[in-house]
Amino acid sequence: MKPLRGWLLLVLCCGVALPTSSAATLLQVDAARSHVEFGVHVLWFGKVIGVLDKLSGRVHALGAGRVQVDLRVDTRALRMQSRDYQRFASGPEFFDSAQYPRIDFRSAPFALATLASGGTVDGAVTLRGITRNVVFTVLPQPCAALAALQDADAPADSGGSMRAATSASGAAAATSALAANAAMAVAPAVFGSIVVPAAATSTAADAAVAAVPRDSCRVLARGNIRRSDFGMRGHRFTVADRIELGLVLWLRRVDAAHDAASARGASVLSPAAAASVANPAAVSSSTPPPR
Amino acid sequence: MNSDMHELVLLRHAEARAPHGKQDDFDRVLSARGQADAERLGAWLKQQNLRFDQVYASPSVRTRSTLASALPDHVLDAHLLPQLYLADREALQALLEQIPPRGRALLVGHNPGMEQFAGALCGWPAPRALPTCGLLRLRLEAAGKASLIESWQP
Repeated sequence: MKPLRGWLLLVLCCGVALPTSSAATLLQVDAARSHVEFGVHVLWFGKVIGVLDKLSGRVHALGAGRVQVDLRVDTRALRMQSRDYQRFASGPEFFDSAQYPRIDFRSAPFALATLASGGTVDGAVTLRGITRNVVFTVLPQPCAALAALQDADAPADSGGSMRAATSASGAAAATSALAANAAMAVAPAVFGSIVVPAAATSTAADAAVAAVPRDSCRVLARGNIRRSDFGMRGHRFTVADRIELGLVLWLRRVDAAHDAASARGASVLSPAAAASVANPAAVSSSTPPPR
Repeated sequence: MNSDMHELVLLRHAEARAPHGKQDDFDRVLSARGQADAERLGAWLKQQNLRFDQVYASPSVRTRSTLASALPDHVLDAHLLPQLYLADREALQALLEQIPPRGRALLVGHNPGMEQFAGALCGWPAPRALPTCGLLRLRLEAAGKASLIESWQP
């Protein structure tokens, strides 16, 4: 009965924080335009950067202007400057894609306004089967579609910062912000210019970006993890412990019908991630890194 | 060599005479044996047709003399770096970050830093002894892997 009791406790603890099937999906990650970047410093070579192209994710509405983000990234869809890099990054000393083909990120609840106005988002990342807390810094990216969402969802006394960001120059400013996003999205943005082979679908993706729908917004965020926390202990003298993560996410508003369909298959939560959201401080102590 | 792979050659200075009187360690000169070893090394490098894209040396007398005897063509273009003098493993690590990542680079320096640095780069369980005038030719890859290509010792 002990395992069952543990699960019950977990569900009780996390009931408030976790989106359930009843939590509406507010925004969906546009997989065709979004990607995750990672960078690690290698002795003498400088920062080596890679791109993970295959991901899915959702932003769940929790009510009162609060949301929660779920991301699932496929570590097998990896692009880097050369095959040598790719072999190392997907190999057992780094992502170990064969054994751990997924990286999961689940945020703690945060204000929807943060996606446009910028700020920090706490959460937990699960990589190589190990879950650790992470803090992402969201860069300010004013976006009319998010402002409209917030107007519909937020209580009357919240979300001022997002409205201020998008309404500073009126409707024309909101339109041009979207246009600027569209132009910048052609290239990875969080780490500046990245020299990696183009994705096979880049032409189609570029064409899609050129016609960015008005219900989409780009969100840029960056955070750091320590690879030793996730069991990546090879080449410690030459490869830095810190891995920089960059999220380039295009978020698209989800209509009610789409939401109902997606909610049926939306549960991607691992027990470790669930525990971390309920009690972020508990993650590090519950899964101590091997020494 | 492509941009994903570079070579780092570590050369320990040839044997130097013990300091006499109040002579500073920095000013110690090569012994007769050290001089001969450096010249033999030069002959080997010539035979191997091993060329260097960048050369860095500790400014001490014994490292400069080793360079002059083994690689006279690089006396003028070698960079003399004060931080290479008696550099330990960490100092060499920091120094490598300041060198442009290209081609084949030669560092002429001192022990025990040189052999400890090579051991740390290649992940050897224990540093391999690097005798005076000993040379280690290492391949460094952008993925963080370092390996010994060949070594030379008198």
